[in-house]
Amino acid sequence: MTLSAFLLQGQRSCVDDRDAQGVIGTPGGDAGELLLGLAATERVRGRALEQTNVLRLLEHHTDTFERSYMHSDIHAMNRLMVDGLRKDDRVVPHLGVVFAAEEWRAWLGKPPRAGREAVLFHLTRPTNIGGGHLKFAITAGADYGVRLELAEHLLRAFPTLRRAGAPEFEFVILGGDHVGGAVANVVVPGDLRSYTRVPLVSPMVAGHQMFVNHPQVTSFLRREPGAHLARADVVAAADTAALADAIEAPGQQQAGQTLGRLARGLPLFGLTLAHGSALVVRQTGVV
Amino acid sequence: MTLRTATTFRRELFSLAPGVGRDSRPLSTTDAARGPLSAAQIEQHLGDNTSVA
Repeated sequence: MTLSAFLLQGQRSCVDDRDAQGVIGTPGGDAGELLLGLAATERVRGRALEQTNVLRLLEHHTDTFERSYMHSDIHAMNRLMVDGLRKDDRVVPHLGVVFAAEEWRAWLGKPPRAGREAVLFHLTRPTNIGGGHLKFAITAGADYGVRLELAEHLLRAFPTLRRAGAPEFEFVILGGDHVGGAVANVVVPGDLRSYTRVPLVSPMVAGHQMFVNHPQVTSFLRREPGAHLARADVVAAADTAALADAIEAPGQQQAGQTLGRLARGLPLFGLTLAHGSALVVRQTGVV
Repeated sequence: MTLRTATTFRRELFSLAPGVGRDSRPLSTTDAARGPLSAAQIEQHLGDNTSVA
């Protein structure tokens, strides 16, 4: 798969060290990039986005780029079910018989209408958010340049669109704990092109975990979705360049914030693609 | 079912929160050792588990 193919058919996963699949990593994955783009859109247009705007923009995005990834984790999902939904009188009468994981997934996929608002409420509580990047964007919004309400709009939009019949909005649940022993920045020498081949790296392998970040690839991949947002009638076409600028610099700032919180003190490595598929490993600093 | 949909389905089905109700068996466990990794460990980590897409 080349970069161009990845752009239209791949997914950006989180830098999270608990994923056992080969990933292109960026903080929060697609959801983190969408939040970044939505916040930039607000700044460029000078007006807040409402829930309906966010729903429409996510549909617009995924109709073109085919899939969007958001993740949580098992700990957060257990808190959601045990401490949230099972203790909420707005939800309990509508739970029915749900115990096993697959029963919960089915119920959460299509909660009864009377309980939907309560479910969305619990899904936006920080304690029930299993992805560090999105949780930090909510609890430390000033550091991320993100309005609380905008982050909540995004968190509500994913399950809403899935319930409406769009499984392209993937909701991945990661298991285990953050025990990553390094941050790996994957680097491809030279300029990236549409035909450049990119290394996918698995954050969790055989007893080792590390945070996997593809800042260079992410910067490249932001160009098209960023311009695509500008075409969705929420910002003027003339503001496309301004929107790109409003995405890139805050994106780097947000990555620093999230990795600084999740991986402070860990060694930082550069994984540089050499001949063939070999990656040259070199420590470049400490987070 | 497309390959992409099948992959998503498998991943979601087997990774949704256990520990609630009857199914309390952890579906995903991590035995990872804590502590910083060395360059040699990173190289071992990469091994055959990296694909150049």
